[in-house]
Amino acid sequence: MRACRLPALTLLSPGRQTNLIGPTFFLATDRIADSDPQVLSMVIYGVALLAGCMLAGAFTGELIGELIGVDANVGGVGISMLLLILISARARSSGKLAPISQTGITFWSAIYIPVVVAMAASQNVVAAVRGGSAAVLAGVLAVVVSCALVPLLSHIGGEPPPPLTDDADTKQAV
Amino acid sequence: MTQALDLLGQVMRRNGLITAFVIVGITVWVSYQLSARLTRGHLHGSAIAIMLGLLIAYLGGVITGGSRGVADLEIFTGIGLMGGAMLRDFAIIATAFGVNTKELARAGAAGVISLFAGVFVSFGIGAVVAYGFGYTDPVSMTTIGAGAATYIVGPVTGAAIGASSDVIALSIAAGLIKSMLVMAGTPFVAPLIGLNNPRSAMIYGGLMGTTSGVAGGLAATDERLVPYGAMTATFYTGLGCLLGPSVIYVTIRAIMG
Repeated sequence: MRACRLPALTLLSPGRQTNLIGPTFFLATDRIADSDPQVLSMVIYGVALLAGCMLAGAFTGELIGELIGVDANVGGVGISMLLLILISARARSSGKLAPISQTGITFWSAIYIPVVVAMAASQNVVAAVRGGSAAVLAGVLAVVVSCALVPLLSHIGGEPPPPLTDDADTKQAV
Repeated sequence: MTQALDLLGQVMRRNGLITAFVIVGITVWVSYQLSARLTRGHLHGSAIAIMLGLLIAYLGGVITGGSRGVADLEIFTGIGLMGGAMLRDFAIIATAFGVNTKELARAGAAGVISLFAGVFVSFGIGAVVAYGFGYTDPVSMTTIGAGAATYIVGPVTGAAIGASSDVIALSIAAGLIKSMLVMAGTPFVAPLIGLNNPRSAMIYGGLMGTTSGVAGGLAATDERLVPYGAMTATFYTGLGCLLGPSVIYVTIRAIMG
């Protein structure tokens, strides 16, 4: 029931950074409550870094689309993700990204599932259902066949890596 | 009483995004309770939450006749903002914070291959289904095939090669079906296809391509897989829009004579 008592401000435990994302939060209200507001405001550095990566990626994606003559953003989100990975790895190892600033990113990472729920709630489900049997069949078959290809392609680049393990602190508390 | 309700509605409309936080918060809480009590955690709470979301979207669509699910109801417009592309992409990018860069690099080749395989397979299947339903001209076949890629590739390709609006609508519907099926079905197929590590997640993202579907489906399976799947999926729509009206259209036209 830990999640019920999660305070608004959580801190990524600096001592045990996992290399995989998950709600690896750690209660640190006391420490944060004692901090001076100027330190607390540093949370915006993380948010700004994240936002900057998104803008840079979106711009690059649009640019690529323009260059190859496609009316779509080509990989903008993926480029932003790569940017964030590179910059944050460097900033973290050199200690330039304070834990409080990191929470500016981890908060958005944690709010991800609720955002996806809101996304699901604003989909055009009616149109999908009323598309008729041709649409349903095309959609369903595309998913089924693509699914079947996953195990085949997983062997590219050597044996597939082992499954992620369920350690207690990455499991979501309900 | 009605005056109080009117006032409440007004407050909710004026604070759309805040209302969305409350509604989504309640939805997630209810879903996690259902997951723990009814399925003893076997069905992930997030999976239930996403299915509830789709159900609410259906009801919203039936009530309003609009295209944005429950967000077309005036008091729930904030849900459209919260689940819209801007915040969705922002949150997806945030999940990349702390990913395993070694695994990312090692899965790179498989990810690229899965992207191309995913685009060609989806186009092919869509085109064959279209043919089976009597859409035998190359333009319609390509457009419906594009819809089987994603609901964005469909209309972009259709518009580029001059498809009729009913065929474009059909392609969007095919893409929506795919996206929703991936969103709701991923947790169920995950154990069957070995979807439990970063590499298979990247391959899954590349094959499926629907960013919203993959993002939701992996979240409902194991949220640690999200950044890997989202990373490849985000290139899919661009690749589809690139190949659809060009290579794939030309190929289908050549095959059909």
